[in-house]
Amino acid sequence: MKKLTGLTFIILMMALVACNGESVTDESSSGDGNGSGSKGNELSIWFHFTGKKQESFLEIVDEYNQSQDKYHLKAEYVPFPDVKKQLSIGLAGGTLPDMTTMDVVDNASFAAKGVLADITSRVEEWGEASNFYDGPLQAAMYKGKYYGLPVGSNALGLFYNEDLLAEAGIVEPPSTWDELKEDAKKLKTDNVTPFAISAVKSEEGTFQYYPFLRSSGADFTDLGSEAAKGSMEFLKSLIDEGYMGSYVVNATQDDIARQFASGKIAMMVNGPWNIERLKQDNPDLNFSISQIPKDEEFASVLGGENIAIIKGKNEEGAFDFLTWFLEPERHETFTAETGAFPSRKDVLENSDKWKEDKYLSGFVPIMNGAVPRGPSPEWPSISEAIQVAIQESLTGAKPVGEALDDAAKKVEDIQNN
Amino acid sequence: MLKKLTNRWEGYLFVLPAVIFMLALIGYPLIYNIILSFQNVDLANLASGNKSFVGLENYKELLSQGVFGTSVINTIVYTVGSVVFQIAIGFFLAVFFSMKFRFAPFLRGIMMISWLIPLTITALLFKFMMGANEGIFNQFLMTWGIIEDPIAWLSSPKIALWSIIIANIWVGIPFNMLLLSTGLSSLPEDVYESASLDGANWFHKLIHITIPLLKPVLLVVMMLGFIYTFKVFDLVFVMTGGGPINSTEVLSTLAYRYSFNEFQFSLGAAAANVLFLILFVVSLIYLSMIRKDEVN
Repeated sequence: MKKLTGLTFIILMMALVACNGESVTDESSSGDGNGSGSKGNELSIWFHFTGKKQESFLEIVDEYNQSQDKYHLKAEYVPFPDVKKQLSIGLAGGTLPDMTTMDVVDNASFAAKGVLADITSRVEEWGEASNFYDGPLQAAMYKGKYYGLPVGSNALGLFYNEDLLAEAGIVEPPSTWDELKEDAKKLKTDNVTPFAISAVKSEEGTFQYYPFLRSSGADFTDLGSEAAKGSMEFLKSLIDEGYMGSYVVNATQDDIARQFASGKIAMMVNGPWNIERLKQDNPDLNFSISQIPKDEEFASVLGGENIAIIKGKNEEGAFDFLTWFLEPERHETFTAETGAFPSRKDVLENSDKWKEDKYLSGFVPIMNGAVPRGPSPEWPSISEAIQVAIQESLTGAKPVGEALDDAAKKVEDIQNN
Repeated sequence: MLKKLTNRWEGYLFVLPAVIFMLALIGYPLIYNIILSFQNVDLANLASGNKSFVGLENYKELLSQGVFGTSVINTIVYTVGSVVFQIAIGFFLAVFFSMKFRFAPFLRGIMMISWLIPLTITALLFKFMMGANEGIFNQFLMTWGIIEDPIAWLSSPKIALWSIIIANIWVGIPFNMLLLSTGLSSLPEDVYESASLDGANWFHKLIHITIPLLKPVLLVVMMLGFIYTFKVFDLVFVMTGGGPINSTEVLSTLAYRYSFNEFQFSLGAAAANVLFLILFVVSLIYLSMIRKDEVN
């Protein structure tokens, strides 16, 4: 018997070593985030851009380092889902960089917690803020102070498969909720689901629901209102009538885009960052972009990135890079090349890059009406309440009214705390 | 007498590196986490170090949240469901492969592949295969006429947890099979021979010889499976992220969410400690079993 447990033990040990090995490499990615800029002229930034955007950004960093010899910037990639985790680990371990890119929606909460530098006086001295769009700028502010600057924006629009719509005899994409339903009826076949949004249990779900919430005239502060309930009832009815699959509660925006590319979904809500991907996945796909159908008024939600400067680090150097990075021509190249929208009005107005692009031009009117989520320092918790309400409603676990009343109460508690 | 003492002292010296290693890499985070759970730490005071002790507040708040109870129950259902089926099927396969037919070693080797694939990949594969429309599971079941309408594997709150359990059973079978195979091969042949002489058939031998002789191994495998499965994170995180609603939230994903999505580090630490406490108790039982085993 002794020999037996011995053997079992060896196998167990091998198993443990194997598992631990995995998790250790996982954690160690945070290890070299040691860009504390001890040398005065050393600057560091964490960024989460991928693909083409990453190449473009790294080129810009090189260009910056060659253009002047006061600072040397070191850029380190942190995967998007890990940004918040790495920032809190860096905070605990004292290994934060001088600045970081972050999702627009997180800027306020990090500012409220005192992690970010108040750069209001620098921004005022710089004097360029009036050239920026108001929405993205709001998302970089907390209590009237600047805690970052937007470096690229996006919004959600309605992507529609032109071939499928034409086959169903639809000339114009739907512009109201009623039209969406009528068209969905015509589009539905055994192989084609007419419509999809991502209602997954993460920030993506809140992001995708937000245009519907805002179009009804409600906001996150009155989730219990009739208007808010109406917006959720509408989405639920799409599922009940078979126009949208119930699987959307576990499908990310990328999952939906993949299905849209394969022609299984006729219309979806998605953002400009997926345009390149659609073209790659299916070069023959004929698709176009229009406003998300409305209830009261057209509404969309702002996404994108800010660059925020960490408090107590090399604020001056970081701000130097930030303003250099946001100079109009550079901002134009960086955003246009990567399927994003500029955060600066003057860039969009003086450039043809967006107006002439078949796909991006569809987003131009959308960007004008796109609003930020929140902003609220407690956004992560508020978003969590909204996600639960979306999932409870769409899976039928709770009646829509009850789910949203619960969410409204949670949001109220969070804000009163 | 003196010699004996120095010997012992040297012995301790040899163990020292391991002890330091354990203290630094396992002891420190463990204790840090326990302290964290009695403080009130969020992003604001994480850096400043201005942390106040709040006693059991975090644990009280944890208990007051409905999702905590749900996640404890989910974790238990997930663990028991996984372990029972993993062992049952693993045992069946181990017995099957112990019948020395021609390709047995080769096939047994092939079986290990599912255990070698990184869990995140398995999770992604299952997520695709369990897709409501495009997933291969539903397409097979519908072509064969077993089901009429597609099953919402991962998007129905009632089914999602079991879908993850199915994925985990698939992952865990080979490991259980290997452990049990090792156990089977060490069983004495002569008992079987004399049983054959007495006229026992295959089934009699299984019930009256194999299972009783294998009982210590089965118990160990069960304990290991429990410990390993109870701390599940990657499979759930990738397949559903805890959703729909909170139907697949387990203790580890809950602790992660509190800490890194909502920045309530202390609450997250408290949830992690509950997980630790349960596993600690199970480990003690396991250790006492091992000790008994060795005395025998």
